[in-house]
This record gives sequence, C-alpha cells and structure tokens, in this order.
Amino acid sequence: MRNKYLHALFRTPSGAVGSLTLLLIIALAVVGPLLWHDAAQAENVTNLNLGVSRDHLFGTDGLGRDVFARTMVATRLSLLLAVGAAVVGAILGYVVGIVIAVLPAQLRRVCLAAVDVSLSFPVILLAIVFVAMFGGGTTSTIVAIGIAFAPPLARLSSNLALAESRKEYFRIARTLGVPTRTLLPRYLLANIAEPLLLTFFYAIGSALVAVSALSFLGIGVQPPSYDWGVLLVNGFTLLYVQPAAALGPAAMIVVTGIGLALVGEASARAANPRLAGARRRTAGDDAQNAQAAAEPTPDDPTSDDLVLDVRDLRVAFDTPAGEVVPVRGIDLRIRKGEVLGLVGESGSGKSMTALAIAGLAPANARVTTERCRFLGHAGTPAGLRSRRIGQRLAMVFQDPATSLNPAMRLGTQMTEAVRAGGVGRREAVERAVERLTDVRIPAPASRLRDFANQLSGGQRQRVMIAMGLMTEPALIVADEPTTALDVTVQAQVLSVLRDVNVRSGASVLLISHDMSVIAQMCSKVAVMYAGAIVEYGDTADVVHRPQHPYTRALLASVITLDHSAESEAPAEPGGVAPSADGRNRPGGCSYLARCPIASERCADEIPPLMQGAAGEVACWNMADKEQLV
Amino acid sequence: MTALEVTDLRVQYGRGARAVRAVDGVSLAVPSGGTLGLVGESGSGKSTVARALVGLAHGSFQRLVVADAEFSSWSRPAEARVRRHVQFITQDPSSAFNPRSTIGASIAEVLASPVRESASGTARTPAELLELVALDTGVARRYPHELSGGQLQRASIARALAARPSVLIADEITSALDVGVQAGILRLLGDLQKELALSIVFISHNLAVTRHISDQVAVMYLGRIVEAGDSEEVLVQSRHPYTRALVDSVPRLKVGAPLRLPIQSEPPDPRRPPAGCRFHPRCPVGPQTNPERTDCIEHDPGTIATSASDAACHYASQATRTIAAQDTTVPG
Repeated sequence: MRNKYLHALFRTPSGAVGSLTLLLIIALAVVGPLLWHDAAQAENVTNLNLGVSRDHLFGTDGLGRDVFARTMVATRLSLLLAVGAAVVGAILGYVVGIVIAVLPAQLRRVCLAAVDVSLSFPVILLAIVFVAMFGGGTTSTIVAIGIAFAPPLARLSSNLALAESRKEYFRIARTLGVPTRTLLPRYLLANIAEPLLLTFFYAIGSALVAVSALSFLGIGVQPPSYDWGVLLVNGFTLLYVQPAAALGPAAMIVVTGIGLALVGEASARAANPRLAGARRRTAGDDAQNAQAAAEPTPDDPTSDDLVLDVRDLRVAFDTPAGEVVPVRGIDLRIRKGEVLGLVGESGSGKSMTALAIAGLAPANARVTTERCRFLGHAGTPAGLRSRRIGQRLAMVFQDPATSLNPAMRLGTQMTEAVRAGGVGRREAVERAVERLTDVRIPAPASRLRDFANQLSGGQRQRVMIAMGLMTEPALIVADEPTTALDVTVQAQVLSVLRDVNVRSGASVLLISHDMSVIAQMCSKVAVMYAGAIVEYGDTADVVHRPQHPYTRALLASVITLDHSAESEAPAEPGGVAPSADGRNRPGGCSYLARCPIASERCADEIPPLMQGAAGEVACWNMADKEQLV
Repeated sequence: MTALEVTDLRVQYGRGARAVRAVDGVSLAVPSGGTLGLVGESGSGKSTVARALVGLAHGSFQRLVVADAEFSSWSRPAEARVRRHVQFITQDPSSAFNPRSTIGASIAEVLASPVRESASGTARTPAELLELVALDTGVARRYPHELSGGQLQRASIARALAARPSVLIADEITSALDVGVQAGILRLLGDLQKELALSIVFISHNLAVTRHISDQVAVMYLGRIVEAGDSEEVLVQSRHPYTRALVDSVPRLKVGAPLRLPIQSEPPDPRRPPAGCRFHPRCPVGPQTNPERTDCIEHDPGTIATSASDAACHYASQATRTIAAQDTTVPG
C-alpha cells in the first residue's frame, strides 16, 4: 500500500522533481545545523559584508559571518516553523470545517457566515494581531500563523464535505445502514482527502512565506535565533551592495515553496485510486490537420447522388499503453434523401464514427480515410468541415441540455452561422422563425428571445435540429438524438426529423442503440460491432432476416411491448465485446468469443463485408453466402 | 399479503408559489413476492415516490406498512423498519458506490452494519453475494471505475441484497445499459425474486421492459397515479388515454410501421398543474378534440390506489383496445 503510494508519487516528472527537492531540503534541515553550526557562528571583523567568493558563496554579513552557512543552518527552524504553523492551521481548519458541514442547516449557516467574516481579513494581518496578543517568539509565531490560516482551510473543507455528503453514494450508504463512524472517515474524508492534502502542502508553502514575513518585520523569530526571514532582513539593508546575502535565503524560500507545491499535487494524485493508475495521454500527431490543407479535387461525376462517400474510415488514438482504435476501417455511403441507421452497443465506435465524419473528432485522434467525399468534394472530414461546404452538414447530439449555449439567446445562436456567411440580420431572423415553425415550436418569433433553460428537453432537441437546418444541410448526423427523452417526446422529435428529411431532401445518418427506432426511421441500416460494420442492408432485411450472428443476438435481446411476463425471456449475448485497445481482441473475427456458430476459419481470418442473400455481411458462416463484394 | 404499502404519500419541494407537489397523494401496495411496475414520463414523480419510500425524500403519508408493521408518520422506528426491509437501487451505478472503496469493502460495510444484526438467516459473505448476482468473486477487489456499467449494476444489486431486504426498489436500473446487458439484469432480477422471495417495485420509463417484468403496473402523471391494475390489463387494454398515448408512442420493431404521434405537446409545468383533469390539455380524446367534454376541465378525476384496478378518467373506456398482433419475426 505504502509502496504503491510512493511509486505513484514518483511516477510523474513533477512529482519526482518536487519530492527530490523536498527530500534535499529536509536532509539540509537535519544535517545543516550539525555541519555548518560553527561556520555560521564564527564572527570575523576583517571580513564584514564581503561579496560572493569561493569561501563565502552568499558573502558575509555585518558581523563577518558566512551567510551561506547561516542559510543552511536556518533551514531547520524555517521548515519546523512552517510545518508547525500549517499543521496547527490544518487541524483547526479541517476539524472546524467538517464539523460545520455535518451541523443542522440553521446552525451551519451561522457558522459559515462567521467563517466568511474572518476570511475578509488578510491572513498576514491576522497573524500580526495574534503575535501581538501572544508576544513574539517561536511558539507564538507557530500558533498565530496557524490560527490565521484556519478560516480559509475551514471554508474549503466544509464546502467539500458538504458537496460530498450530498452525493448519491453517500445517501445510499445511509439507507443501507452504514454507521456514521464508517461514513465520516471512509466516505467523507477519503473522498475529499485529495484537495485537502493539496491545500495542506500549499499551506506549508504559504506558512513559510508568512513566517519569513513576520521575522522580516521583526516580530517573528527573535535573535539570537534566526530563520530565513531574519537572514533576509539582515541582507536586505545591503541589497544593492551585496545582493547575495538577501537573495540566498530568498532563493531557499522559493525553492522550498515550489517543491511543496509539486509534491502536494503529486501526492494528491497518488492518493486517488482513479488517477494513480491512469497514465497520461499524449496527443497523437495531427494527421487530420496535415491533410486538411490538401487541395480539393474536381467533382466526381460518378457519385452524383452520393451525399457522403467514405471509404476505410479509421480513428485511432496513441496512448502510452499502445494504440487504441475505436473505428477500424469502415465504409459509409449515404445517398441523397436516404436515412441510414447506424446501430450498435456502447463502445462499438458508432459515436466516434459520427464525430469523425462531422470533423469533430478529439484533437488527439488520428482520423484517416482512403477516400472521403461530401457532395462531390474530396478532402479529409475535418478539412471539408472547415470549408464552406462543411456548413451543409448539421450535427445533432444526444444531450440537448449541454449542446446549447446557456448564456446566449436562441435567436443569436441560431443566426450566428448564417450571418457569418454573409446573410443579413433581417433575413437570418426570418429564416430562424421559419425553421422553428418547421420543427413545431409554438410562437417561434418570441422564442428567439428566450434562453436555452426556458425550453424543455424535447424543445431543446427540436431547436438543435432547427439550428442545423439554418444552413440548408444536405446531411444531418444525429447521434442518439432521442435517448435522453421520454417516449412521447421521442415520437415528436423523430417525426420532426422524418418531416425535415421528406421536405428538404436532406439525408440523415441516425445513430442509435435502439433497434426499434432504427426500424421505424431508416431505409438502410449498418450494424457496428467492435469498430467495424458487420452487416449492412435494407432495414427490412436486416431487422426481419438478420444474417450476422451478432445482429441476431442484438435483435433477440430487444424487449418489445409484445413481450408479456409469460413470454420467453429475451436472449442475452454472452461474453464481452473486444475493447478498442485490442487487449482482448482475437486474431480473426472480432465476434469470435461470443459467436455460437464460429468455425476454425473465424479464428484465423477477419471476415470482410461480403454479399449475402440480401445486403452485406461480415461472417464466414452466414446462411446464404454468395460471393465477395 | 402486501410487503410494502403506503397510503396518500405526498412530497412537496419548495414553498409558496414555487412549490412543486412532486408526489400528490399516491397510494400503492407491493404484493408479497411480486413486482409492481411504476411508469410515467420524466417529471411524473415516479422516482420521487421511490426516494420517499426509503426516506431519501421527505414525504408525508397517512399510513405506511412495512413487513406487517404499521406507521402513521415518519419516526425513528418507521425509519429503522424501512432500513431493515426495503432497499433501493438507482439508475446510475457509477455514482452509487464510494469511489475510494473496493466493491468488496462496500459490500462488507453493509454486512457489518448494526442494522443487520437483527436480520434473520445466515449472513452471507461478499463473495457469496457476488456469486448470487453472477459476478466473478475477483470483482470484490476492484474499484468501481474498473467495472463496466452492467457489472456495476450487478454489484449494486449484490450490495442491496447484503442488507437482506424483503422489498427491492429498482429505479430505472436498466435505463443506462445496452439492450443485451439489460436482458441479463432483468433475468437476474427474476431469478433472485424467485430464489429470495423478494418483492420488487420496478420504476421505468420503458413500458416494454415494465410489461415484461411486472405483475401489476401503475401509471403516474404529474405526481398522481392515473391508471393501475394487472400489467396485461393496463398495458394491453389500457383505459386511460394517457396510458394509451404512452403505449402508442413506443416505437415498434417493425419496419414500415407508421410513426405514431399520439401527443403533440409536452408535459405542463408541474408547479402549475392544469385545473380539472391534469391531462386535459394534452388528451387526445379530451376537450381539445371533443369540446363538449367540459367536465375534464371542471372536475378533477383524482388519483387512484394501485389496488383499485381502475383509471382516473371521466371517459375511461372499458377494454377498448388491444395491441395489434405483431408480425415481427425475430430469430432467437
């Protein structure tokens, strides 16, 4: 356990640098007074205020003492004071904060108000007041700074604890009868430990500065004791003559502070089981942008009615653990006015396909195609998207709550794109009203002045569709557009989408996990599994006469209204799909491990899409195999 | 015999003009060893009913019966009784576990809870519970983020079972899952019910899944139950126009079937429920289409109990329709 924590601490470069710095400082604090005590005390009246030399790295002070030796010796006291003050502050602040968080609401509000009032005083001012009350000296400096540091730490910990206690798992644990003595340490503290630990290390850094500041002002550490702050004030008087005497201790304060911050971050990361195991992702080379500059090729007369023609689309991410390939070479052809359904489980790569086609794949994704044409123009998906022709592709996302800008009026949002394209304001507004009418939003003209939060979920999704229609799209890519909606509202949104398709002739790529939605909406279906299309054909063929064993399993697991309690239980496909990083990917067919009709060939060769009795199927053992496509 | 029964459950959020009666006089009874399905659109109050029953939402009621003990208000004994007998599983299993604890530790905590000491029967171990939900016992050593949605939902069921409940409240537990995984969870729930004689409240917006798993179904609209009865009766021979609209909105796995659009409008603002019948502004057979049906605007048909097998509609039709036989052929 402990080793794992240390391992995680040193895993990142910043953690390693910070830890080493801090270890060095701590070592100095231990051995400094032993090694340099005599040198630090030795006064030499012939060597007053000397500059930097080989004998005196930081020069000497007004009594001829070696400032370097004194700085090294002062490490112990400076560090002890800083850690002491931070510990006092943290214990006081965290305990008060967490106690406040579990108080009844009324009392909690009063206490938080009191904490807020104390927050309005600068920490250093409070510390000075407390030092004045307690009298100077080492102990009173620690206590004074500790108390002054407590309010911000209390506020932070009570906020965190409060947020945590409102989370679902905390409440559920209560209903499960988990006792409070388990709840507080294991549910509350464990989950807020990360930011608390981080702020604790920062607090040591700030305490170091505060201690030094008090000493600098002459009310902290009292001579003959000395810390970095005392050395700083001694050196300060001769700053322009002999800067090293002040800069030396100052550098120690800065280096220690940085080391503390780095370790704070790294240890917070190490304490989190989720982050401790995670490796950082590195951005892959952006092939997307490199290819985006490619010149457009002249229109291809053979693809007249093809709105979108994509061959061998691959999406890959480079990670330190190896290449992750969510989309493994798929072909998509969408004709004018066609509604193509893309169906599959979560993780099958269907959403990544949609994003890649729309040129919206994440920046670190490598998107490659053998061929990509949109309305006859060739280029890369991202390249096409950035050109004027890209406006003719509209995207509708699953979550209507996050896809509209909450701070902008609907009218401004809807007209933005076309106005940037040179359409006048009046005409743009007229068009927006027209489109809102198309998607059956009541009182569209007044709606334009509304904000997104004034709409219901179904209305937002329809506004999203209306927004996509502003640029007269030739293709609407809809990624699970109704998954977050009620059945009644789903029916409304689907009927709007169908309407738009029929009236404007725009093609639709409808991505869904719901076979019933696909069956009602689409003329063609592509079934995706583990990053590849395993079956493609007319919807009626795929739904009523599926050929690929995966399509069959998918259909068999659908529960429809025709299933009564007495009817046969829906089938569940056994096993799991291979993940995109290829860890559990078999050599041959990706469905091999779950397939009931697999043969020897399936283990050796990846089946390509082949012409079946109807449509195309990627299976060596399909019922009516004819020939290779 | 009923495992859990509540009469006139009310939950109100906020006060004054902004108050929302999320649950407005719901009475329901869960048959012992059976499943009660609760369906409705989002905002109908079905999840609030579940949360109020386990004390996660503050509700009031006239009567609450938990495993033959009767209470007239929330009190410590009532709460203890609920904790002992009723368990709750949520839609999103990833937010239901302490991210800093392993699955095994989370289950062990429930087993060690003092509330369980009075529980009858032999205590199970985390490994046994994981086996019960068909998970590998190695899952006990994993953290929540290392499991898939389906595995987590199984673990969530295992943890609920650690409390040895007699009633399980399942709130949209398959909504976030793939259809294949959903089928597995539903089968598991059915098996567990038989094996452990569990009574289940199954809350879902998915009518097909609800029909498949439930013995009885209650349909909620704006905080009230508008129709209840045997699941076949309610979902196949619906009498309330709202139930019919819900059923008709479900897409069929049938190519070329016309897209049906029984309701054009969206649910009204729950803070200002319409006068009279709350469904009348959206009702396809109400005053919008039949202007002479003024009683829908003037008289409130009220709410009904799940035990009533009735519909809260002035024009509730008696067994007027059945789902047209589907000619869909789905190879298994």
